[in-house]
Amino acid sequence: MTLNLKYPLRNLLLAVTGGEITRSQMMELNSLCQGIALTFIRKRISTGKINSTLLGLKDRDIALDCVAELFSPGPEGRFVEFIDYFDNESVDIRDTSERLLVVHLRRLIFYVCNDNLFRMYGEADPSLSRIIRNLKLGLKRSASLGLATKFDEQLVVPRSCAPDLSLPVMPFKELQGMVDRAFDARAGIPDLLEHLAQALERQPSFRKVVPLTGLACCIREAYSRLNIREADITADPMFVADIRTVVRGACEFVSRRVGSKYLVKGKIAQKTLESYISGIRDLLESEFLGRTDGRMCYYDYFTHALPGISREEYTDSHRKIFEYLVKVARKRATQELREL
Amino acid sequence: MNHPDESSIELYVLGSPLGEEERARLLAHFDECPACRELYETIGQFYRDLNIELEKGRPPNFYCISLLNSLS
Repeated sequence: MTLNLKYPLRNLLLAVTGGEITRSQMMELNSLCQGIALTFIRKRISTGKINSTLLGLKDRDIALDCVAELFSPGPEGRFVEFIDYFDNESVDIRDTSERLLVVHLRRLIFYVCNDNLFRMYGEADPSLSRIIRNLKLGLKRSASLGLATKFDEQLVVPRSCAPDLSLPVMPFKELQGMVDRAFDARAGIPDLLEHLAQALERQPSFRKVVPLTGLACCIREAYSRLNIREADITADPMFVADIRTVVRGACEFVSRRVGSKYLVKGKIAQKTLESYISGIRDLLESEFLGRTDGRMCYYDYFTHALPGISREEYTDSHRKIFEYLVKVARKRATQELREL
Repeated sequence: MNHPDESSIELYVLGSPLGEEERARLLAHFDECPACRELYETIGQFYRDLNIELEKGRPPNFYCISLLNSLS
């Protein structure tokens, strides 16, 4: 099977990473990226993994939102998301086959879609997204279970036994029963994962892998049966400390690597940069610890750090750089949390 | 059982040329491994759906138009 493209993908990727892309190449690349995102989103909606009603958006709008950041030029006018991806993967676009470039582009789009869906869900369904975040943190540390990506799905997989892929997929009802039996509300996610690993290993009838989102839904259901507020899970001091450390690290990175460029060019003063960083830290801690109800906007966090600035002055003189630094810090923190 | 990695299956779906022996080994594996067969079918269906979407050739959206204007 070959993709119906007007231009070789290699030419499109060389153009967008090299900073010299024509209008028609940009249209082609934009259309391809949206097509990949839309196909991914539709599949997830049709299999019940995305609730588009909850998000309040049509499939095409979700796809557009997801890929928009790829086509948002950085302050130097470069398409940094494409450049960063191929640099990080050490892919030399000139020496890579067309088919492998398709695979890479598809991975990049799935990656940004998953990140953006997680963000959208964080706004529309904060309790589920917090459980997923805590699960991911717990899986990073677990000796028994880990996280793997299978094409378009994130799966919880055993570390020390075969996943028995020849067996049928575990039905949701069965998974819920297993979570209910392994669940101890006082023990928290790390203990739950250890009990779950043992239960998965012992059962002989189904694959020993379960979908991450499905597992998170089961955990939420278990909490709700016990009338426990999910917010109590987020208060686990281990997770709070992890998240604060990661957010501070991301802010230091942004201050040192990105903010300093604005200082050198004289676009902002040292004191202003420090205030930006303080506002970014508050904003990201609120986001990651689930302490925002969506009512605080960028400007609110900005004025906490730099009081007395009017909205007009913010828009005219600060918004572009501040929001760009937030974006870079958020991306850095998300990557760090994944790697914990 | 040694499972082929996801990239190999995806490249095969995309028509990557394989030697006769490698192709036969992959197809034999799909016959005996439901998980890899499912993955092969999932990836195949994804690219078929993507091609249908690309063939529709939709006009650029507002976002793309503003981006194009910034290029010219």
